[in-house]
Amino acid sequence: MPNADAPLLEVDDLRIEFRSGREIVRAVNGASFTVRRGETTAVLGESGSGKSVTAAAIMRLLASPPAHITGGRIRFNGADVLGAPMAQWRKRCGRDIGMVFQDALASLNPVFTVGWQIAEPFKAHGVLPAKAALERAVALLGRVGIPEPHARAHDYPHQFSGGMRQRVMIAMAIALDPSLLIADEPTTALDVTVQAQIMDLLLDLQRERHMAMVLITHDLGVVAEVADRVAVMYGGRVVESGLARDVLPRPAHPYTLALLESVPRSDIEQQQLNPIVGSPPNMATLPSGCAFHPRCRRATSECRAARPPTVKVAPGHHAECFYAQQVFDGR
Amino acid sequence: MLAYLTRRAVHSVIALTGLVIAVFFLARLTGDPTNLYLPPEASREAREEFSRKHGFDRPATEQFARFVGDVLDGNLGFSLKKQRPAVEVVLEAYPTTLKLAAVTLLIAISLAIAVGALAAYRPGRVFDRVGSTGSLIGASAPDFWVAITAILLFAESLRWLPTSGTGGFPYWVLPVTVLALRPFGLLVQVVRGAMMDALASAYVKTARAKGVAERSVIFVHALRNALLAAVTVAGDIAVGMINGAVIVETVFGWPGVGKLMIDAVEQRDFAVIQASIMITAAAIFLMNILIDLLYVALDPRIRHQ
Repeated sequence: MPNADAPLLEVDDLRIEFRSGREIVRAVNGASFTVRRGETTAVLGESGSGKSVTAAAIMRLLASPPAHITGGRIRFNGADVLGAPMAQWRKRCGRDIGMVFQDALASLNPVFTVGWQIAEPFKAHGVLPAKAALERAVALLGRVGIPEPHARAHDYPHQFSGGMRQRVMIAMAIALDPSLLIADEPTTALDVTVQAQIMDLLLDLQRERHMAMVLITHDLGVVAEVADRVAVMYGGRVVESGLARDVLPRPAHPYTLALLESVPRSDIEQQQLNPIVGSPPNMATLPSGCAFHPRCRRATSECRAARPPTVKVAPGHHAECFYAQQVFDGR
Repeated sequence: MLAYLTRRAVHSVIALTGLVIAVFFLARLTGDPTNLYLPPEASREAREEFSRKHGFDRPATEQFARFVGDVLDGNLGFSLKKQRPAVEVVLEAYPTTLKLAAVTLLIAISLAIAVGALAAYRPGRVFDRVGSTGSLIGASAPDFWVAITAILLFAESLRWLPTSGTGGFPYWVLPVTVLALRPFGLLVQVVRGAMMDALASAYVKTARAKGVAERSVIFVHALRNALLAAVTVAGDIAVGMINGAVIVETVFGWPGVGKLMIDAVEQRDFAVIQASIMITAAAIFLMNILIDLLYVALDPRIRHQ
């Protein structure tokens, strides 16, 4: 058993390109973050910031071609992930790491019953024979809050509502009690009222099973509510990271600050919304220097010329900006 | 279910009625069979006697009215050539066609699934290129040309296989191969496409994330979905086959219903033409229902609609 204080998951300088014909899309450009046992790390970012690609890379689910991992390391429990033989790695998927995807309807196989699909990890990893596995599947369905789990285990994904389908996905991902759960925008496709229920379920399960969780999201509200740590991604890099309780009240990167300011607030009178001007960068032609400079109020010629250093503004709180200290100090 | 069967049956009866009317009159446009069945030196009286006996002296509309009456009585007519009820003649030929169709389909479908699935797993690799090109050629090659070329090569020149007829294994090789070529080619393309979609799908990612072995990902998760597309196409092919492989049966002297129809047209054996078309239509009707049921069994989303 590795040291309990050692990080469970380390993503270090990860670089991923998608190549099609002549075009190269650099989806991830040196992303780094760590996840500790039992903790929730939120990976926060806009669409196209590279957060979902990073999640898929951790599970080694990227199809190559077109995806190529061109640099960096991922370690899980201290062991190299990307270099392991695929068949060997596959044995850890589902057992040590579970994954919940965004679109549960597309992510569940339409022609098998949900009971069969939840029972599958037990069978695939040789944990239980089919019949016992199905019993466990029924118990899991009940645990994630599906009424009449015995009967519903024989139903197919299309017979469930969106929220219930996401519960099925979650049951499947936690079946073998993984030490890490990667949830890729688990509530994005759901109604607002259902979103809260699913988040609550995930948090409950996490506490009950002492799972670590990587929560991929673009929802600041969710991050504020559930995350222990946060890694903010922009242009395929983690531009700010730290404990959520440090970063959210006092961000050190202009992008994080702009994100926080763009959230409508109910506690003060607001005349209008504060959107971040411009649009997310085209990952095939990333801006020079700091990828955020075209949208940044503070940008100077320096930001266009070179990539900013990672500045440590407080213990465990880092931001990749020439002016991180000023932003942090509210100047 | 009952409503579905009734609707299907009504459609089939309407289509069949139109078809039978067309066939009845078109067949009679080929001329009076009397000259074919009596020797050239037969007397006028004998000819008239023959015509009268079979009702060919009456106007076509009257012949048709009589035919409809007979059909409603369950009588599909009498074969001039074989001097036996037409139904017997057709039902005798049918199993031969069905056997050929079944063996051909079984081989074409299983090979196509294997080749299509493996080609899709590594698109662009050697196996995929050979398989895709080969299947395209198979799907496009005209069967009469392939049949005759195959006979020239394997039967005439090499003398490995019999030219035609029925019997043991060697007699099956050429007809089955030639007949399987197009279905195989088409199905490889369909299975390959459907498998590529399935392998790129979100549910395959989920299966991998659960730690399912790659073999099961391909042959359970992906293939089970790809089969839905394959069944649609294989169903059409199966329907096309049970009305008799006219060209292949004729070229290889295979005494099935396809050859029977061609012979019956040549011999102006009207009752056999009509009977074979009606019985074939019934078989197609049953086949379509069978395929629909299979589809429902394979796709739970349709089952619950």
